[in-house]
Amino acid sequence: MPFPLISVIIPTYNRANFLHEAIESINNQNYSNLEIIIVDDGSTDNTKKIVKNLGSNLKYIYQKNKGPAAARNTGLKVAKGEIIGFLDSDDLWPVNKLNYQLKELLNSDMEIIIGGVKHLMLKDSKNPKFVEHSVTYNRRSLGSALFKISAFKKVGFLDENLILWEDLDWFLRAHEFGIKILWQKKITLLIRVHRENMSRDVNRGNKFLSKVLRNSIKRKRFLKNNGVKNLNLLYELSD
Amino acid sequence: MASYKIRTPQISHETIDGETVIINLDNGNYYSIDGVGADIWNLIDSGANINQISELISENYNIDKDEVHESIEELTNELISEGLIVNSKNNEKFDKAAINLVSLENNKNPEYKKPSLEKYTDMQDLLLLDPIHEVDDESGWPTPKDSESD
Repeated sequence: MPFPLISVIIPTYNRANFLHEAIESINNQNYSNLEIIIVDDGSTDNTKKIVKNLGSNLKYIYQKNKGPAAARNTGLKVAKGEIIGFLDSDDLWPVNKLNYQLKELLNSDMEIIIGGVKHLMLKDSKNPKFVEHSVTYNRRSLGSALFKISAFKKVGFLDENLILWEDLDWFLRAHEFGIKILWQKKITLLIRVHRENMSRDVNRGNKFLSKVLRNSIKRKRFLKNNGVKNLNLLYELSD
Repeated sequence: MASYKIRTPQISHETIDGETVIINLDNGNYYSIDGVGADIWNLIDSGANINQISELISENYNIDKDEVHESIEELTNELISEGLIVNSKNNEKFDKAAINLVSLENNKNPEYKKPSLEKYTDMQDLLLLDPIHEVDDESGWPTPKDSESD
């Protein structure tokens, strides 16, 4: 399986202006065996029209606005790939992300690989051009990762009740299933930082974060009380 | 009288069903504390000083004030060494009526258990946050700040 099918899931909501660049960054990966699934989470702008003009290799799904977790799950439900990638519609993949991460992922017994992230910011307030910020860092992020589909078969879908931190919740569950993550320094995601994705409501965000962590603590206690090391073993025992 | 405050915004916390989850966003460590400990934490958050906390805990749990005082000192020392709270000059006025305590949620006499802080360090990699950039209010877009470092 040297060149397995990769499903790239793009959840999008009113990002018609950025979407074509995101898709272009996937098409520039020099990897042909892939399907691009765009899940339009109820956009009210001209997203649908833009996608139509972007080529026939795109799978476009429209749904009522349900939030990013639900949009990604919709993508997962139709994905046919052995490998799953995510890209938000205002972010970009650097050239060779796919080939680089795929090679590392297939050469290891790990099911998730997470690479580094770089922020794209405006050069100055009067210039609409985005430039790469000097800081790079390694953070949990769906877009800088690549997944074997086996990970989702074990852990399941993203929790659609969470509007924020749903990615952390999923990664915590993956950890509890004993799934190991391969971390790499190479930059595999460029995140556009702008007002709409920065103006996070901190208090509201922290409430979701506490909830996500508390759920994880509760699961850990349950495992400890039942003398089981990880969720995977629990499922095997209960069969 | 000693008084403390929570080291916000680096420390995020929330009490759900009598259990307080505390997160140190600087290093990705997180903590759980319940019962008496959750009450003490929320009293610190409300600006109560050590004496006021001891009095309220001793009253609500029907336990000797000196014994409670010792436990509270132990806990606050631990919270300080974990970087979750810092000394405060206590300029705030403490309003006893405005705070929801775990021990007051049920009508029954709550059981007194020595507070204990559970610490989790296994998720540091996954919990760290993105660096924050400053937003230029005029343009609505952030611009790079060269002094930022990871």
